[in-house]
Amino acid sequence: MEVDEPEPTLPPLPVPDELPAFTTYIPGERKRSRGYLAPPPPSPGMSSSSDPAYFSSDDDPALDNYLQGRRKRRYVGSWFDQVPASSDSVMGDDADPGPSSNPRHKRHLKRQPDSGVWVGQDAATDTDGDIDLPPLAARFPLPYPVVKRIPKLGSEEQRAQSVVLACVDDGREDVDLSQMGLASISDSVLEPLAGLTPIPVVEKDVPFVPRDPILKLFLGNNQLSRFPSVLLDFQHLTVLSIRNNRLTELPPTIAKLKNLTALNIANNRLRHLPGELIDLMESAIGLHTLNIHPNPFFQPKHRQHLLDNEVLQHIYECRTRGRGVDGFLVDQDRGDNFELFTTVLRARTPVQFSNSAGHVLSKFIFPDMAQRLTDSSKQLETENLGSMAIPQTVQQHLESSGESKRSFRPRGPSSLLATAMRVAARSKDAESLPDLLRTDGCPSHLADPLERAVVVNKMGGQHCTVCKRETLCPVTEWIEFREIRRTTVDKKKTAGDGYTASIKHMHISAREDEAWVPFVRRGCSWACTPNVLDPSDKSPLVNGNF
Amino acid sequence: MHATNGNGGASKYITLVSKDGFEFVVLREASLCSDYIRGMLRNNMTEARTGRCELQDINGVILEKVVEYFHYWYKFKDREDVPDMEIPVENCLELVVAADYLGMDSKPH
Repeated sequence: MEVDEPEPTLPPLPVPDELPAFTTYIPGERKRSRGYLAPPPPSPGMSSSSDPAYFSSDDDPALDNYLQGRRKRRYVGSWFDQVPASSDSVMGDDADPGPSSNPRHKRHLKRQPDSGVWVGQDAATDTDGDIDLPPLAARFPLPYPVVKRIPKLGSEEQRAQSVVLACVDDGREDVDLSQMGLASISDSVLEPLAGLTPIPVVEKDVPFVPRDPILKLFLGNNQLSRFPSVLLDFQHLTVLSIRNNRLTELPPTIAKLKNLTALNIANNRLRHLPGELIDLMESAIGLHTLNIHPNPFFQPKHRQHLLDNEVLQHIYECRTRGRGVDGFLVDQDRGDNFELFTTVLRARTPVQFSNSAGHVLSKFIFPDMAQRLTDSSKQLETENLGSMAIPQTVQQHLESSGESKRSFRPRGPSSLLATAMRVAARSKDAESLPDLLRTDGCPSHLADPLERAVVVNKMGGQHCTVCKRETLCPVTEWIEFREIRRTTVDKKKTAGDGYTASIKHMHISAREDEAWVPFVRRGCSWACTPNVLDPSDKSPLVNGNF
Repeated sequence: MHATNGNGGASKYITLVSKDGFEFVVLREASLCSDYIRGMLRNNMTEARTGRCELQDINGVILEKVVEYFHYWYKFKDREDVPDMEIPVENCLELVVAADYLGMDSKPH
C-alpha cells in the first residue's frame, strides 16, 4: 500500500486564555466533569450547536485514487474543532506534539479547492515558518487610477440638495432654492432635476399621457457669482430666476433654453448681456417676462441716435447676423397675434481687435472686467455706424488677402494657435493646463487666454456672431447698445396670400438710463466685424435670404 | 511671388529642421503662413538663400503637426467650408507654444 502523504493537518485548537473555572459543560454528556488544570478535551462542545455534525473526509485528496480501497474518515462536530471519530486519523489533539511523536517534514502544499480548513487562525503558528509560499504578487500591478476628488458640499449646498431631491421625489416642478445663502452651487446638486418626471393630470375620460416637465427654478437672493452651467442642459426649464445674486456674466449658450417663459436676472453685477440673448428673445416663443434691470450695465458716452433709418438698420442686421429686423413676422409657429421682445440697434462701440493670444491691437480696449466700475469707466465710447476704426496691422492683412470691407463671410481655416487652444480647452485635464504654462521657461502670456478658453468651454462654448463658427478665443469684440421693446403683432389676412400686420412697440423700461442695453458681440477672425453702413446704400435685400 | 522675390530662381520648397534633426520639405508658399518663417525668408538671411530653416526649439513630433497645418492652411485658405484639423490632445499644449513662437496667430485669410 502506498504510503500516505502526510496530510495537511489542522492547527491545534487555540487554548482559551481563561480556563473554565471548575466545570465544563459538554452538551451530549449528562455528567458534569471536573477539570482543574488539565485543559478540557477539545470537543464538539466548542461548537455552538448542541447537535454535533458528522462529516466525512470526502474532500480528501486521496479520493481520486480509485484503485486502492480507502477508509472514509468520519469526523464529529464542525470542521474547525475537528475531532477524528475514527481511529486512523493522523490528526491529533495531543496537547504536546513532541517532535518524535509526530515527525513533521517540510510539506509541499498543493492547492485544494474548497478545503476550507486553511482559513487562517491566529493560533496557527506551528509550521508557519516552514511553508514555502510563492512571494506575493504586487497588489496593484497597474498604476493607481487617478480618482478625482469630489468636492464636499457645504452645508448650504446640502440643504439645497435635499430640496432638489425632495422635488424630484414628489414630482414637484417648482424648485425653490432662494434665500439659502448659496455662494456657489455645484452641478451635482442640480443634476437630479434633469430626471424630474411630473405627475400627469389624471381625469376621467382623459387618456394617461406622460407630459414634459415645466421646470421652474428659483435661485434668487443668494450669492452666486457664476451661472450654474448645468442649467444650460435643462431643455424643459421654463422659469429661471437668479435675481439678487452676484453674477458678472451670462453664458452665451443661454440661447439654448428655448422653452423659457420668464427670465429674471435683475439686481446682479452684469455689465453686459451676451448677444445670444437677442436670439433667445426671437426663438423662445413663450417668453413673456424679462427682468434685466437694475444691473450696472455699460452706458454709451454719447446718446445720439445714430441709426434711425429702418432700411439701414435692416441692412446691418442682415449682414452682421444673417437675419432681418422683421424676421419674426414670417415665423409660422407663433400664429397671427403674438407678443415678443425685439431689439433695435442704437449705437455701437468701436471694435476691439486682438489676436488669439489676447494681445489687443486696436485703440479701443474692453474695460477690464475685474476692475471696479466708477461712473466714468462705466461709459464706453461709441463709433459712427458708417465707419470702423481698423488697426493698421489688421488693415494690411485685410488688404493683402484681398478681403473687401464689405465681406461678411470669412474664408480659410482658423489659426493654428486658436485650433490648438480649442483642443487644449476641451481636453480632460484642461483646468491644470494654464498652470503648466505658468511654470518656468514657458510663455506665460498664453496662460490667461487659455484659462479664459477653458472657462468659456465649460460654460458651453461660444460662437462667432457673424459666421457662427465656434470660437473659444474671439479676436474681435464689440458692444452693441440696443433698445429692448415689447412688440405686439396683429396679423390680418388679406385677399390672396398676403397679410397686413399692425406692429406696436413698447419700451420695457421707462427710465432714460435703462433704455439702452449693452450686448457683447464676438467674431472669430478679423473679417468677422459689424457691417459698416453706407448711408447712400439703398439696396436692403442684398443678402436675399429674407 | 514671394518664393522668387530677391532669391533669383530659388526653389519652390524649403526645408525645416527640427531640434532632434528631422527634416521636413515644405512648399515655400505654404510655410509663409508663419510670420516667423516669413521673416526668415524675406530678408537677406542665410535661410533665404539656402532654403533651410533650423528651428531649435521645436521637436520633430510637433513640427510634423505644424507642417501638416501649413498644407492644410494652404489648401483651404480660400474656401469657406473648412473641415477641422485633427490635433491629438497630448500635443495640444506644445502646439499652442509652437504656434505662438512661429507667429501663427489670427489672421483673416
